[in-house]
Amino acid sequence: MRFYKRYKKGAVESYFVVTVVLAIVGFIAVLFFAVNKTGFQDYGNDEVCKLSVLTRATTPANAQSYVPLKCSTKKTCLTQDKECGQFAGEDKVVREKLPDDRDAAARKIEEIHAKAMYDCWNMMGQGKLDLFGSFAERFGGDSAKPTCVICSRVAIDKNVPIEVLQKVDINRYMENTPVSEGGLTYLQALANDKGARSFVRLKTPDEIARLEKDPNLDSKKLDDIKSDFERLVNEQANKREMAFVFMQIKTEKFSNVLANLGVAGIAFAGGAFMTPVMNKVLFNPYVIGGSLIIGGAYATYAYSNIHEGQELAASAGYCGDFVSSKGDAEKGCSITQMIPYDYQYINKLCNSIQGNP
Amino acid sequence: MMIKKKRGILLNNALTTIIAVIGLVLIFFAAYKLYQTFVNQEAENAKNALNVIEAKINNLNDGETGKFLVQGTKGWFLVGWSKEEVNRPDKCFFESCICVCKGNIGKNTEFIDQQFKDLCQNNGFCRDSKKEEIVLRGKKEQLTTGIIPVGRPLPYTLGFIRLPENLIELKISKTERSLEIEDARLEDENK
Repeated sequence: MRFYKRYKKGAVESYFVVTVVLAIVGFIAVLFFAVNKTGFQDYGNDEVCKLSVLTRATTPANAQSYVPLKCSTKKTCLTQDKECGQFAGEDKVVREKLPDDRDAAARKIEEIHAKAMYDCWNMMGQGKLDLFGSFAERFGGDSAKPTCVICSRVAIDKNVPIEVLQKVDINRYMENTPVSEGGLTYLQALANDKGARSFVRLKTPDEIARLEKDPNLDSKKLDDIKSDFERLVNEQANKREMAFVFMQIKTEKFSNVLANLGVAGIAFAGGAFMTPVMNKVLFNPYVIGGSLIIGGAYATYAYSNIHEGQELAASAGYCGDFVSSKGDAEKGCSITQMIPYDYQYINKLCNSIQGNP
Repeated sequence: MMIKKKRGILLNNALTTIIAVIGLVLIFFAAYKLYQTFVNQEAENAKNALNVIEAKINNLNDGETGKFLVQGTKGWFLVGWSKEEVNRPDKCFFESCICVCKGNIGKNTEFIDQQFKDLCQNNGFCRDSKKEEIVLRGKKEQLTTGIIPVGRPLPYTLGFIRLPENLIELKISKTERSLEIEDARLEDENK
């Protein structure tokens, strides 16, 4: 009898090693490419925000306040060569290089601002979702006071010539430019009106003069509006930083909501929100310090024309019933506005702010 | 007599095992990320506020002053300890530090230092500072009871800054030796 002792210890063959190494390297390469090179990070942030918005709005009322809004403020620096000082020390700043040609640079500025407005409105559910009611109740807040999310901040480097800013006309850009090729214009999309062609312009050239005739504004509020307007001209033009803020406020009667907006918001929010832009100078958010007058361009009816349930056409605003997890639909208004990134203005508009800075 | 031949099974199953391990790692990673979305958002925001403050401080050179906006969180406050101060949380043991902490600072100033220490020890985030002296000035508040610190008539500027639910503007001044953080609204109060 012959015994064959065959010692066959485990042998890792070459094809096996190569396969394993290729598989691991492949995984790493795909992951690296997906995260860093395709804008997946940004796409992921937007989708996470949208998901959290939808999740909160559709979560049962008693659990809604436990769902955080995972929306981070986007930061965009518009510059021709340098970094924006407004974002010094901050991370996750997206730098957009402006063309040297002044007209092209102005168009780029318009594009960025219009897109920021549209993205903010879209991401927050176009204003129709009840996002803050249960949250306010849980933390002892008041859902009748405005709550905000700062969707994005856009800053223009101070080295960009003023002549570029004077060419900026965001309203005209939104009236004429489709959101995507062949689709609705920004104006039509925000107004939810395919027939919207232009912002309605009031004939009175002087906004302050118009407000002076408003019977619902008392003299103190009018003084506040005037002083805020002057402060805007003197201060904000130098800061060159705008915030795109989504704000929601709830109440039973829209007329009260809109009146409260005039009171609770920035002094010019009440008038400007309901007031279309008067002339080209006022269109320009930076020459005169930004001002909610631009935000107001998105709402084109004097508030006396607003009827209950009517959408604010040609505006990034909505007043009506909110989609809510509560049994009875609650009423209120949602607005996306562009305002100077300054605490005095934002805090007048926003009683509280949610989301990640 | 039988010799049992035990051939290794590694060769046949190793590749499957490795791919399975990688898949499990990815699933656990995704689950962790999902869990993070439900982590305490309030604490995250407070930490983010402190991160912004730290970034702005680091961006300033000695001798410079700057004003910066910070998004606040209700119920949290900003406080700091100089290097030589006693009664500090363990998180600030070796260096000066600034902290964002949660708690209710009442209008009673008695044992306020101990209040700060306890609150920050239990529920706060801190960042070290290389400066020897840290000075914080918050909005003036009327204090109703307790021992008034020497040299501070009522109402006096608080040595901490309450973070609001919306935005707050902080004025940060940096020198070779000290770091001062002030609620910018104090400038309006002092006018």
